[in-house]
Amino acid sequence: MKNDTMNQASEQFKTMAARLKRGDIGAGEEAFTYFSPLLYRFFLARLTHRTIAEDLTQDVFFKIIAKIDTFDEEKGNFPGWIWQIARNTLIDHYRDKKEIAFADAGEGIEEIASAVDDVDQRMRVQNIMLAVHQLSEEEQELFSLRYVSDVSYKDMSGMLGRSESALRVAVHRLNIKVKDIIIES
Amino acid sequence: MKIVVDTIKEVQSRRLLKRSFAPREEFMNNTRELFLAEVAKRRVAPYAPQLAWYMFGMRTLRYSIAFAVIALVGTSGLVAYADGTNVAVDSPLYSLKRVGEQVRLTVAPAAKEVEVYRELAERRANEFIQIETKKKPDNSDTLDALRKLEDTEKELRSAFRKNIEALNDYSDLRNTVPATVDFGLCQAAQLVDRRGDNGKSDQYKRFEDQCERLMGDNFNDNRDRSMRAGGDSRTTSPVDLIDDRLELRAGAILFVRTTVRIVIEEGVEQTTMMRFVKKGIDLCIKTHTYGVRFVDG
Repeated sequence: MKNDTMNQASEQFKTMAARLKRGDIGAGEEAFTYFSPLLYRFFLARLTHRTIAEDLTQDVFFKIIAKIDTFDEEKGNFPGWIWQIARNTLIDHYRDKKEIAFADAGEGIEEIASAVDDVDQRMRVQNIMLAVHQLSEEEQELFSLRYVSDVSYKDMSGMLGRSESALRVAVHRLNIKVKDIIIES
Repeated sequence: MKIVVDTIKEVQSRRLLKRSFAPREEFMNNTRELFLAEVAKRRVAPYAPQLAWYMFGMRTLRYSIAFAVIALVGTSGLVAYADGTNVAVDSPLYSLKRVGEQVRLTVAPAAKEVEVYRELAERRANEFIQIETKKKPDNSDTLDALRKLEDTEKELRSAFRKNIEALNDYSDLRNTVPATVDFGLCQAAQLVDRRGDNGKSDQYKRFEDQCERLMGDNFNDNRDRSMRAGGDSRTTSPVDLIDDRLELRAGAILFVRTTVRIVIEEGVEQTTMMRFVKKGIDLCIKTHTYGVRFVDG
């Protein structure tokens, strides 16, 4: 049952890529609606800066449409391909603006938390994010992908170049740490 | 109980995180519009190749029309030139001339049509004459050879006639045996010489000198050899008074003072060159196919 659902989703993404190549606006709408929140949350979790996250998200969509002809829907995994673009975009950003991103980390978390009206919840978000930022780079990346953006193991595997089983183990260890952080917060 | 509470707390925290990480609506709308605009540009893309082909076709058409106009103008000019200058039959523009003539016939008014036909008929007749004039006969070489042969024969006849007349003036040669013998002209001197030096006239001596001059030492050597061999003046065969330079092989020669008839025979192969020396006249006749025989008339 689960495999059927996955195959169906895979077919849908394949079709989406093919339609995008043809300039199908409907496919563009679907792709944007599905991927934009995930990509944005991924960038925001990693950079803790809304404006930069927005810029990078926008960049990713422009890159998708610019490079869509290089994607072979018969061979590649469309979401995995998009996540690879997102990760490369983030790496490029780090390469250029790393100092600024880290300097703004604290203020960014506060600003992110401000999106929540309830003060207690706001404090909770801040505490979680501050604790997450104490994790290693690899763990932070897994946190942003798995917890914030709900990226599948398959896509993460293609994106990070690690096997799905290795990722499951890593995420399991991360779960234990994050659970402690969440419960304590 | 604690596990349940913790699980609920975890789920709530995840939802809270996602809510706090939600993108701004304004950003989403703007980015969506920009992205969809980019997607929409691709919709035109599939038609781009067709447009390119269309543009290519239009460009090709333009060039083709330009080329056709240039070719038409150029060809018209050549046709007019070929017709106007009435180019020859073997000219590469001849076919264009015919085209020009056809055009003239087509556009000529009824009143002028006969005139045009007449002009064209004259042209065709002149062209026919040109062709016939230029045609080279296949047997031209043979004809040339025959003509040359005739000329040679005439020349030969004339030369012999003159020289026989001159020979007949030799009064000192009257004692020459009137028989048909084969000997060369210089052998005649040898025969006469047998009579002894005292019998030589001045005229004969001059003749002998001429022979000597012509044949150098061979003359005397051959004469001496002939004498040693017991050569008879009457029966002297055409001994070799011949050296490498001069093949003197006259046909049968009969010196008759009064009447001499010259017969030129074809096919006497031995005669290749004859020298007639008389009174300072040195005439050389070269022939390959004619021999000479003087016979008693």
